Amino acid sequence: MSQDRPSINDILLTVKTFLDDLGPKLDGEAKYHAQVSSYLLGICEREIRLSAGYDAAEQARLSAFLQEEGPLDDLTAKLCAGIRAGKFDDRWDATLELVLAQTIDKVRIVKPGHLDAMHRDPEPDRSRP
Amino acid sequence: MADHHDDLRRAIRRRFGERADIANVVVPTLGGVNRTILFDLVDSGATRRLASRQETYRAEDSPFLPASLQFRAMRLAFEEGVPVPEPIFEYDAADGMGSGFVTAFVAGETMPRRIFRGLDGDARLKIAIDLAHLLARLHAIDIAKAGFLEAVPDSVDVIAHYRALFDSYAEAHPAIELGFRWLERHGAPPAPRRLVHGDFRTGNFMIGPEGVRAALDWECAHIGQGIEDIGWLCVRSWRFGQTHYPVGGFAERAPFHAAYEAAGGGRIDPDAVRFWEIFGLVRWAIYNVMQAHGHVARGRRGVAFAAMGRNASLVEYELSMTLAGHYD
Repeated sequence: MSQDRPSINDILLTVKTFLDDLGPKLDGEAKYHAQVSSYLLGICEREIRLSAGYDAAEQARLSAFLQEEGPLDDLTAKLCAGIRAGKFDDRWDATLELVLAQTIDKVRIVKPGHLDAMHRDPEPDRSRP
Repeated sequence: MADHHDDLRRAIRRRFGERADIANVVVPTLGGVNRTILFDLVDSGATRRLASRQETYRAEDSPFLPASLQFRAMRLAFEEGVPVPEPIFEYDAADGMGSGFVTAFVAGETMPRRIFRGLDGDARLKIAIDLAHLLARLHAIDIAKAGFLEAVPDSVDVIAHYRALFDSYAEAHPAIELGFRWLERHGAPPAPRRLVHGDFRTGNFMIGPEGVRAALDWECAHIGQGIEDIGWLCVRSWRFGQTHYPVGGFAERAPFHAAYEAAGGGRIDPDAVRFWEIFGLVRWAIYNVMQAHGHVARGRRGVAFAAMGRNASLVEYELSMTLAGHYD
């Protein structure tokens, strides 16, 4: 189904802007919750825009590391179980690199500004509608 | 005058007599799962500001101490000269106020960003040295007096406790797994058992212009290694942007270590601090996962808890960067 304009990202950012304008007019807990709600909508907007590409890249990294194919959730579960069992102790640096890459992508969606300069996305911000 | 605090007034009169009263009642909106009430105890013409803390929600697998044990830990610390709000009394069943207790109110600032604003170099260092002295005093307490904490899970094996808690959520977090595996391969350097605050971090200190006034939030107190408190204090998340000051955002490590050692806290092994800092990152990531679990599976819902679930990834990033040697 093809929806009319505005896009989902536009709607999320519109509501986010509303909350950002509303927040300063509130006090105490309501003000805090307005800020957190705006933060959550920012996460939603980035996740919708970015997660398909990140998931595909993560699946490819996991497949290469584990030398097997499968759905992303299964591969992630195998990585966790293998780390726990000490199966990758002799590939520690490669495991750490894989885990770091996954956390970088998660943070790119949750709070990009939290990343160290070495991991900031060089692409221009496309979050504006 | 009806002010909806009749239960508190009754609890006060049960202990201080019928002539005692409460006044200037304030209920700050702090969020979280505890209800805080600030009030004046007016007794025989004397007025004293007190703080009531009631537990409003408790998950059956809560990793936090029951209020009665928090109260006893605070009382012990207070009697041993550790700066802590003076414990006044604990609620009992006859109060009908659930679990909780009343302490002295300590004025000051706890919010990290407000503390850091306008703090000069000397004031920063003074706070770090106060914290070192506070910890040295806490860690010097004879643990025979803290026997009531011996059976709590954090005293038995703090790492195993968080492993079990994390496993109970059945979520896939490769970074947390890698953190646990690192801890397992390295092992905690041996150290004597001490009374540990357990949540000794920026945000839980009452700060005034002259320095540290009190250590708050004793709900993670246990018997463990003193260095656990130092590792937790240095966890990157508690630097609140002051990342070049590992000690809670206040100071570099060397002056803090020197002050702790000079105050009789014992020698600090930097490898042990690193070990407990890695554990601290794992633990803080798990706390965030726990808050998401309460939101998703336990009906304790809210935007702040939802956000904490996603913020687990921020801690996982710091953990991975620390393991990789990019962050200290």
